[in-house]
Formats: sequence, C-alpha cells, structure tokens
Amino acid sequence: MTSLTGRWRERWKRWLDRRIPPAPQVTLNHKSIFILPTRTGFLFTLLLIVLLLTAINYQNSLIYGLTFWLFSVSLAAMMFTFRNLSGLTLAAGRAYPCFAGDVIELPLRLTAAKKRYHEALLLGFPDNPSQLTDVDTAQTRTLALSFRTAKRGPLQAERLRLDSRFPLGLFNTWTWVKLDFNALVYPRPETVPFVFASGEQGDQLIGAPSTVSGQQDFQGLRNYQPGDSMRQIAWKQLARGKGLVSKDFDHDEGATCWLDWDVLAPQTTEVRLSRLCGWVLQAHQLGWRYGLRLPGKDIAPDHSDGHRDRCLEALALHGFDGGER
Amino acid sequence: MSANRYSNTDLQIPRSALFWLLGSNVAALLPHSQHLPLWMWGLALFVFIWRGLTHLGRLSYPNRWAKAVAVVAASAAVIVAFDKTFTLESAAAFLIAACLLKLLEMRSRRDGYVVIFLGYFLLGTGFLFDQGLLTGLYGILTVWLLTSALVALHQNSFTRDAGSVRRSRRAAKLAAGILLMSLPLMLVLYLLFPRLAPLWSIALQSGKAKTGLSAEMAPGDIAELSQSDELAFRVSFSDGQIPARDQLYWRALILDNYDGRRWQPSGVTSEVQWYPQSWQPPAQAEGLIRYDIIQESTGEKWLFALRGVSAQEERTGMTMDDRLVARRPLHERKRYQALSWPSVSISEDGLAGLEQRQNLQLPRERNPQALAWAQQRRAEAGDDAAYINGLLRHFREQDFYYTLKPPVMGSEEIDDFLFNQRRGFCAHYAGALVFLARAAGIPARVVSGYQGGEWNATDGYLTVRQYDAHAWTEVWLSGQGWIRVDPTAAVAPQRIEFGLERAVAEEGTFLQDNLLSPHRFKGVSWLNQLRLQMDSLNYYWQLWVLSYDGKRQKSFLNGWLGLEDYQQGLYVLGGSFGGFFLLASLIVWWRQRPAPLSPFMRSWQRLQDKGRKLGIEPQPGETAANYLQRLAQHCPQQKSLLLWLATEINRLLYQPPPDPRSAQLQQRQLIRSLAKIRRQLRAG
Repeated sequence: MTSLTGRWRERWKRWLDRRIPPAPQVTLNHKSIFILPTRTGFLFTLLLIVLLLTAINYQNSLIYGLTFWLFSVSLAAMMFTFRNLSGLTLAAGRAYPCFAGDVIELPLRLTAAKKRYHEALLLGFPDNPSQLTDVDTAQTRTLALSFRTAKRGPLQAERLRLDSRFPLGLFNTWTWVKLDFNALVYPRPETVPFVFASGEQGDQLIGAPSTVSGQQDFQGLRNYQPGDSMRQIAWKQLARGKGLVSKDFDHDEGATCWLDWDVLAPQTTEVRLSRLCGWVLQAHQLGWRYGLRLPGKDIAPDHSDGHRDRCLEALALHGFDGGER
Repeated sequence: MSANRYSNTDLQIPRSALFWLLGSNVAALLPHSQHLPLWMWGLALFVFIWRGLTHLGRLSYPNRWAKAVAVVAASAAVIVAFDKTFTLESAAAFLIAACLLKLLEMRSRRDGYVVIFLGYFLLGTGFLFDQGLLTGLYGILTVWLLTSALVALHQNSFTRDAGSVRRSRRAAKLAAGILLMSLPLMLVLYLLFPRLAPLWSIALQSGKAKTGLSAEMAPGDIAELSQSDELAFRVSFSDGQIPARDQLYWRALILDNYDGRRWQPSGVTSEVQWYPQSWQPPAQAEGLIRYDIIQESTGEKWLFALRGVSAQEERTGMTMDDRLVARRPLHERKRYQALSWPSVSISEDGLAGLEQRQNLQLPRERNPQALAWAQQRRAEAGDDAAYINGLLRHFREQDFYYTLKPPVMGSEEIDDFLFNQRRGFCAHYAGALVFLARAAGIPARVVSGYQGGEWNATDGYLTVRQYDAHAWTEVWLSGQGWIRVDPTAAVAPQRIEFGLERAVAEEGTFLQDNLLSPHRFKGVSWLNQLRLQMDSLNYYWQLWVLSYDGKRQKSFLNGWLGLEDYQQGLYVLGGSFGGFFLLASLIVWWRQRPAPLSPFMRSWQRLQDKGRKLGIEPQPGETAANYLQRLAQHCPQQKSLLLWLATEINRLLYQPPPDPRSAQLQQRQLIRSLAKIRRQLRAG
C-alpha cells in the first residue's frame, strides 16, 4: 500500500517537474496554476439549489434572477480567483547559509503582473509556517520564507506552495513552484573533543601556550584588519568613537592545528563531516589557526571569518560535483 | 494533494470586513420590515451594539450559556409573536433571528460565510413578499453589498492598511466588477433556463390577509375595499383598443346564496371545464375580445374576465357560471390570456333544476315588507323584463343615494335599505335587486368583481385597483338567458362612466382613509403625470420581467431565436456556456501574450537562433557584446564583423544618439548588419 502511494507520489512529482520545471524565476500562467472549488464553494452550491427550488415552487421571477446571478458570479469567481495568481512572478533570492537541521530564511521576490493587484496570497513550504501577503500593482515584494533544512550541501528546497482563495472563497487556486534558491547548508555541527592529526604536520597544537583556551594574555590594540573575528574587536574603543580597532592577544592564536578527515577513520562520511564542522567552529572560536584536510582538498591553516566560511563551504560541498561554488 | 493542510477557513474575520458583514445584513433585512415584529429591531440593535463593543474590545463574545439562552428566547418570541402559526412571515422571522444571532457570535471566516449566505437567502425570501421594480433595484444594491462583504472577508488582514477605507473601496469595486461580468450569463440563463411548474405545492404561504375581494360579501365589505388604492390587476387588449367603459365588468365571483345578511357562493355552478377541453367561441364570432391580464396575488383561485369568457391557456378553466379560474390558488402574481364574447347568450334555453332553485333561494321569513312589495310590483308590471326595468326606474327616480358611507341598517336589512335609509353602496343595490327579483320569481344572482379601471393611453393598458371593486347583478330572463343588470348605473351613472372618484366627488370620501395616496391628487397634473409614468414603468417590469414563465419562454424562444423546441434551447444554453468560457480564455490568452518585439530584438533573436545551431548557447544574464565575442571565437572568419557589431550594439544601447531620428537610422543599419552576419554564418 505504502509502496503504491509512494509510487504515485513519485509519478506526481515527475509530472510536476515536467509541467512546472525548477527555475530561478517562475511567472505563473494557466500551465502552472491549479484550481478547484472549496468546501465553501459546495456550501454556496447548496444555497443555489435551495434558492432555485424556492424560485420554482413559488414561481418567483426575482428569485430566479437572483439564483442565476449568483450562479454566474460563482463562475466569474473562478476566473477572478485564477487571475489572482496568474501573471505573478516568483523569483528566488540568495540566502545566507545555515547548518543542517536549522531553519533557513529564503528570500522570495514577488512581482505583480501589469495592472494586477494580487491579494491575500498564502505562501509557504509544506510542513513549514506560511505567510499571507499582498502584491500591489507593479510592485515587488520580498518575503523571507522559513524552511527547515534536512541535509548539508547545496540547498534542496522542496516545491513551495502558493494558495489563494481571493476574492470570494468559492475556489481555491494554488501552485507548486520549485525555485533554485542559491543557498548552502553546512553539516550539522557535532561537538566532540579535538583529536588532532598526528604526524609531521598536524601533530598537536603547535606553539600553543596551553591546550586549554581562555588563558591568553592581552597584548595590546592594533588596527582592525578584515577577517578579524568579532571577538577581537575592541567594542569599548569603538563606543568611545576611536574607530575600529582589534585587541591583540598573546593567545592560542599562534597555535596551529590540522583538522583531519582521516583521524575520524571508522565513522561514516556524514558523521565525520559533522564532527569536522564542530571542530572548525570551536577552533575558530578559540582563535586558533587551523587547517582542514579533506580527501582531495587541503585548506592551509589560517584564522579569519573568511577562512572559517571557506572551510565550512568545503565541508558542505564535500562529495558534490563541481566542488566549490 | 493536501489542500486542507493550507486551509485558511479558520482564519479570523478581518476587522474591516466586520462593517461590511453588519451593513450588508441590515440591507438584506430591511425589506422584511413590513412583516417583522417590532422587538426584532430591538434584537438587531442589541446584537449590533454587542458586536460593536466586542470589536472595540470592551466586551467578550457571548459564552455558550448566553448563546443557548438567546436561541431559546428568540425562538419563543417568534412563536409567540406569530401566534404559533407557521406562515411565510413566521418562517422569515425565524430566519432573521437566526441570522442576527449568528452575527453576534461570528468569529472565524467560516461564520462569515454562513452570515453572508444567509444574507443572500434572506434577500431571496424578501422577494416572496414583494417583487416591485423598486424592490428589484434595491435587491441589486443588496447583492452588491453582500458580495463586497464576501470579498472583504478574504482580504489580507495582516497588512499595514488592513482597516483602511481604500481597501474597503477596493472590495466594493472588485465586487461590482464581478457582478457586472456575471450579468450577461445571468440574462442568458434567465431567458433560457427551463421554467418548470412547481415541483411540489408548498404549504408555507403568507399569512397576511390580502386586500381584495373576499368569497363572501356583506353589504359593507366592498365599501371598505374601496378605501384601498392597491393594484388588483392590469389588462392589455390584443387589438390595443379598449372596449366601451360600460362593458368593463370584470367578473370574479357569483354570490347566489343569501342568508339574510351575507351573500355567498353556493357552489352549485362552479364545476370547471379545463382548457383545452373547455368551450371555445366560434372563430368568426362578432365582437370577440382577446386580452392579457397580469393579476396580483390573491391567495384564491378565481381570475378576472369579461362576460362570455373562454379559457385560453393551460391550468386555467371556466366554470358553468361563466367565470375564469386557475387550478391553484394564486400565491404569486399571474399572467394569463382570456377570450371573451360578451354578446353570447348564456343558458337562454332554461336553467337546470338545481341552478334554478339556487337562484330563487330566499330566506322567506326575513324582509317581509320587501317581499310583499316585490310581489305586488311584479303583478303590476306584467312581464319579468318590465318588472326589472321598473325596479331600475324606481332606483333612478326615487331619492336613492350612492354613498361610500352607508348608514347602519336595521335587522331587516333590505327592508330598512329600500324603505327607510335609501343610501347605500353598490353591494346594497345589487343585494336588494337580487332580493326583489327572486321575491318575484325571477332567477337572479349577485356578481362581484371590478368595474372600469384607469386606461393608460400611451402604453395601452388598463389598471384596475381595489377601489374599482364592484358588485352588480345578473337576472335570468326566459329567451335571453342571463343578462347583466347594474342598479348602481341607475343610481350613480358616473360610477360606471368615470369611476368611483367622480361618483363620490361631492361626498369627498374617495380614499379618505388613505390621505397620502397619489390617487387622491389626480387633479394636480404634474403629480398625476409622474404617477402614470411610475405606473407604466411598473407595468413593463411586470410584463417583461416578472411574468416571464414557461409559456412566455416558449414563445420567446420561438419568436426571437426561432427555436422549435426545447432541445434546441438546450443547445443554445450549452453553446452560451461554451462561449462564456471561450471568451474568458481568449481574454486570458490575450492578456498573457508576449509583447511584440522591436524589429531590432527580432533580428537579434534570429541571430541567437543561428548561434544556437552552431552550439553557442546564450547564457542567462549575458550581454549582447559578450555573446558576440563568444560567437567570434567560434567563427574566426566573421570575427572582425562580429566584434565591430559588439561595439556598435553597445554604443546604441548605452550611448544612443540624442535625436530619435538618427537613433532609428543607426538601428536600421544594425539590423542590416545582423542579417548579413546571419547569411555569412549560414554559408560558413
């Protein structure tokens, strides 16, 4: 049974992919919009039937007129509901990376069709919170859609659903859109004690006064250099209006280490990546200079926000074709 | 598909929609004001204040107990107010009470739907009570308000301008757009949707007493009816000519049973022959009158027709005593055709025993003076006709008065009227004449109905109102059959020639209980003009809109669309549906068609097509110059031309010459170059 429904779901997905192919930007038209009557629509039909019976049994012309008018209104409502989506352009924006399992905020740009006012649009990913929004004539509105990520790597967002019952609620029109959100999901960090690579280059912490962090001595202030971590910035000096300066420590900074793929040998790829990710974050926070060694890729020891991002990116994209994006 | 996961029916009602909901429901309620008990307005006010305070956050929603108490109290109040009767009025009152209480407790969007749909239904029920032109126009307004409320219910309530007037105006505008767009299809349906006969007969009818003739007649009844200016029916004649006024006796009831006080139908002669089995006058008969009547609802089966009537359509028939009747009581306005041959003689060969006996029936112990006087006059007169004429002469020559304010008669009513008071309304004269005829052994009966009417010469129709109600007599003379005798014509000839107003002008009693009636001001010419114009508007409204039924539909299909039968009508109906959707999709397609490209862009795209064939796929976001450079790498022979083109295109795009003329020239030159390159690429 499950396999049957699963197979159907697969077929449905394939059909959707053919009908509304994934793209960075989608303009909705009759091919990508679905429409069906709602439960309210059926209630309205019931009202029409009762009115029609009243008109017939009382032979009342005005009730006939009212019935036919409301019936025509329900047909027109179908068109108006369809028009509320049609012509709307959805475009994916660039999102900030996040860690697997976290909620990522995906920027979505909605652009109205010419001379159209799209009202009361309900947007969201399945199983994630939806948002209600309007897009005014010739306006572009940017929303941040929440999406709970599951896997590391380039973001594989599901199809997002756009619903609307505007204006009369008799019909529900919707679409499933797959947008290429250009976002990266880092592995989920796992905090475990460091195991440093042994051997010539990554033996231990090299030149560290102490393996325990937090005992560094303050050395003085120096000018801020791009890449300095937030912890280093002398916020007090900044608040006094003395400009952006960094605190210089005699700390583990001198310490260099290699975070090595191979030391996590028996674990699976994902666990190794998770742990490496945790180490990168820790090492960065401790202010160490760290290098990352992955199969086929070495990143030389360094310490900066940019370096950290590069390492995380390498971890996220490990095993994906094309490597770095 | 999991549409329900996204179900937004449980959303709260947007704040701006509340005013629409309350306002549109008041609009749907107002037409019911005539038949609602007064306390209903108190309930409405209470609900509105409570809901308003809830809106402002001053009061909470009613809890479950309050709701239960309200429902029970309102139901009980309705039952008491309508005296436990189950009529259209009490049903409407129930519906309205339910609607009001729903307004009070509504909270989610689903409640909003219920309130609005009830509002539509309430509007429809309002049409059961009144279908006038103004009610129709008011109905349009109400539909618009209700639809706006439905739109407002779906507007986004989470935006900054959620409660603004601008949004409400947008809702109203959109609703108007939807309604206007639906009008054509509504008209097609109105004209073509099969008009069926009632599927079942409905017990639920209005309990309100209708103004009009009643089946019984006490002498004062018609005088009372004469105080009303309500419409009774309208007539148009097929040759457009109105018969002489003294022929316009619209017969409705035969009252042939007298109990000393009231006249009633005995039912002896009310056997009905239904169309098409009923009698038809010979086609070549002289003086046939064919006419079309739109009769207001009476709640009774009788129809109105001239003497010598013949039924002309389904579900109508004629009785043995020459009346037209319908199969069902008229709870709605009805339009029908009839044919009359006024000069036909009826029962000239003699009456059947039962009929004879009924038409001679008298309570012998009452009115002894009149009885004796009649027998004496009959003996003096010699024959029946002379006797009747003598009676009319007596009414004319003695000091009998025609009055809307007859005095109260003694217990021997006819004695008192004939010999003491001598003042009476038509019913007194008719009753007295029949009594005198029967006392002398001449079969006679009272006929009640309407006489005369107001002729609208511009539009060619006759309006008969309640104050045209009349009673007269028919006597049977051997060799002549039943003939009409109107004693009122002897006493007050103006009544027949000019109508009631002229006949009681001296007395000043015309519509005296009805001070504001426009019919009292016929002397003021502009007012009268206005009244007549309103009247003819209403007439056309009834003629073309309200009386459009199955029969009219058939003739419309036949006459206007040339459709033979219903099957073809169905094809047209289906066709117009198809047309509606085709038109809609055409509009959608037209709106979404790509904008026509400029000649330069067309030319550029053709070059790109060529490039695609050579395997140079244009990249998204790539500039023209960039693409041309890539193309140049691929085709070294055309390299110089391509690179030149790249700079030229950049020049045109980013440094266009200031005057449009030279820009155009430059563009044309580029188009030529593009064409040249295409040719070269094809060759190469």
